[in-house]
Amino acid sequence: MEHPENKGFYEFLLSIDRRVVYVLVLIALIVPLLVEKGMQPAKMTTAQMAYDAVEKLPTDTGKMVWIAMDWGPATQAENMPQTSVFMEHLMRRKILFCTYSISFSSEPFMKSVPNEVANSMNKKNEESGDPYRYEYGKDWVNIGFRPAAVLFVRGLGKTEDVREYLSVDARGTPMTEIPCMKNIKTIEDFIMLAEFTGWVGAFNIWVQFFQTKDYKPIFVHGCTSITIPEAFIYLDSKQIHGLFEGVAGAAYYSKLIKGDEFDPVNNPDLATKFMMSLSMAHILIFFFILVGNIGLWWGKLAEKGGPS
Amino acid sequence: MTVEWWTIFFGGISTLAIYSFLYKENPFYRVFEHMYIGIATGLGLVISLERFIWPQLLAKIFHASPQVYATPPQLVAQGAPLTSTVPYEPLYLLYLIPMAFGLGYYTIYTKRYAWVSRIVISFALGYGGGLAFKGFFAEYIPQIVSSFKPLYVPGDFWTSFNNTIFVFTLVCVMIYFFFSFEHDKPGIKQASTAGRWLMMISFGAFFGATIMARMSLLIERLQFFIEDWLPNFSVLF
Repeated sequence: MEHPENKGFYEFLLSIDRRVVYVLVLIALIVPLLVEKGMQPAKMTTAQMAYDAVEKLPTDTGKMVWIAMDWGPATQAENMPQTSVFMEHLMRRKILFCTYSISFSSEPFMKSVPNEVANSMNKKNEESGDPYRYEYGKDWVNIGFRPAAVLFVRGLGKTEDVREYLSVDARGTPMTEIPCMKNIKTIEDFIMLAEFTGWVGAFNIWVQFFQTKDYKPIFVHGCTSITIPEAFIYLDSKQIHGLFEGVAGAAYYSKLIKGDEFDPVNNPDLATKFMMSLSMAHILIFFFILVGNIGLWWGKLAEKGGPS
Repeated sequence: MTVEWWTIFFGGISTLAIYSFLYKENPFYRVFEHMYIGIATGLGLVISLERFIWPQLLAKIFHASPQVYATPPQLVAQGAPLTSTVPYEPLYLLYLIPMAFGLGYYTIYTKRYAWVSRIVISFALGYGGGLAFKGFFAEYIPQIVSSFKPLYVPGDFWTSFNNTIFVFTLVCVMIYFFFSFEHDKPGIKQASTAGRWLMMISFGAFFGATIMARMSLLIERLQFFIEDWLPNFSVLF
C-alpha cells in the first residue's frame, strides 16, 4: 500500500522544472569564466604519450607532420585547444607541418589557428630577442579542404609525387613553389599523422588508409570527450601512439610544452580556463545524481511504508 | 561598425536563438535553425567549387592559372597573369570523362534518363564496398591481434591484472552476444550476466564522457559571450 504523504521530497524533486537545472548549470559554468582563473590540470598519461612521440621526432630533416583538422564549429570547444597546443609544440621544435580537412567547415580554422599560434610565438621571440619568425609557407602550409575524403587519403598513400597530387594549397599557390614542401615526395615523408576530430567516421578513414604496405605513421589523435572510451581501443592496439582526451588532454599537454612558463592560476590559457568551468559543472552534476538517487530511494522507502 | 563587429554580433544572436530552444520551442529558434542549414549547404558548395572543382579540374582544362581565384583584384588591375605560363597539357581534357560520368547522377531527376544515374550509383557502391573491405582489415585486424594478451606477465603484477580484466571482459561480452545456445547452463549464465553488467559500466563511461563533451561546447559559447560578444555589444551604449 502506498503512503503518498511520505513521498514529499521525492515528489518535490520530480516537480522541479528542467529549466531550473539549466540555470544552475549555467551559473556553475559562468562563474569560473568571470573570475578568469584556471586550475592545475590532472596528469594525463595519454597526453604524455603524445608529447613524448613529438619529442622523439627528428628536426631539420625537411620532413613534415600531417595535421588533419577534421573539426568545425560543432566541436571547436575541445578540438581547437588540442590543435592549438599541438601546433605550438611543433613550432617550438621547428618541425614543419601541413593542415588538411575532410570537411569544408574547418576551412576558417585551418587559416586562423596556425596564424594565431605563430603570432603568439613570434611575439614571444620578439620579447626574448630571438630573431626567428614563423611564417606561412616556410613553417607550415594549409592544404585546405578536399572532397571525397576516403578516395583522397587512399590516393595520397598511392601517389609517388605528393606535390603534384595536391597541386595547390588553400591560397592557390602551386605546391612546387612552397618552401616547406620542398622535401616532400611520398606519404613516407610525413613523419607523423595528427588527427583531431569529434566526427563519427573521420578518424577511421585515417586509421584505414593513411598507410602503405611498408609505412605506418606515428599517429596522434585528439578526440572529443564523447569518443574517449572508443579511442582507447586504438591506443591499446598501438594504432595510435598518443591521445588528447578532450579539453583535459589539451590542458595537460599545454603544461608539458610550457614547463615553467605554465601558470594556469594567474595566467590561464584557453584549455586551462575551460577546465575550471568543466570541473565546476562536474561537481554540480555529481550533486544532482546524488540528490536524485537519494530522492528515488526515499520514494521507494515511502512506498514500503517508511520513512516515518 | 566593421565587418568583424557584425560577425561577432550575429554570432551571438545566432547562439542565443539556438539556445532559446532550452526554454521552449519558438519561431526565433526555427528561423535560425533553417538559416544554419541553408548557410552550411551554400558554404559547402562554394568552397567545393573554389578549393577543388576550379583549381583541380576546370583551371587545368581551360588552361587558367590555379591562382586566378586567389589573385587580389588590385594585382589583377596591375596586370597580374590570369593564364598559366605552363604549356597546355591536352591530356587534362580526359578529366571531362569522369566529370561527365559523375554528372550522370543528376539524371535521377528525369524519368526518361534516370537509368543513367543507376550506373553511377552502382559504380559508387562497388568502390565503396571495396574500400570498406580493405578498411575493415586495416582497422580491425590489429585490434583483434592485440586482444590476445598474456594473463601472466613475469615481474609485472599490474599488467597481468589489467590483462586478466581485459580478457575476462572480452570473453563475458562475447558470450552475452553468442545466441547459438541458451544461456541457462552453469558458467554460461553467470558469464553472460557478467557481460551485461560490464557493458553497463562501459555505457556509463560513455555517458559520463558525453556529458563532459556537451559541457565543453557550452563553455566555449559562454566564453565567446563573455570575451567577445558582450564587449563588442557594449560599444553601442
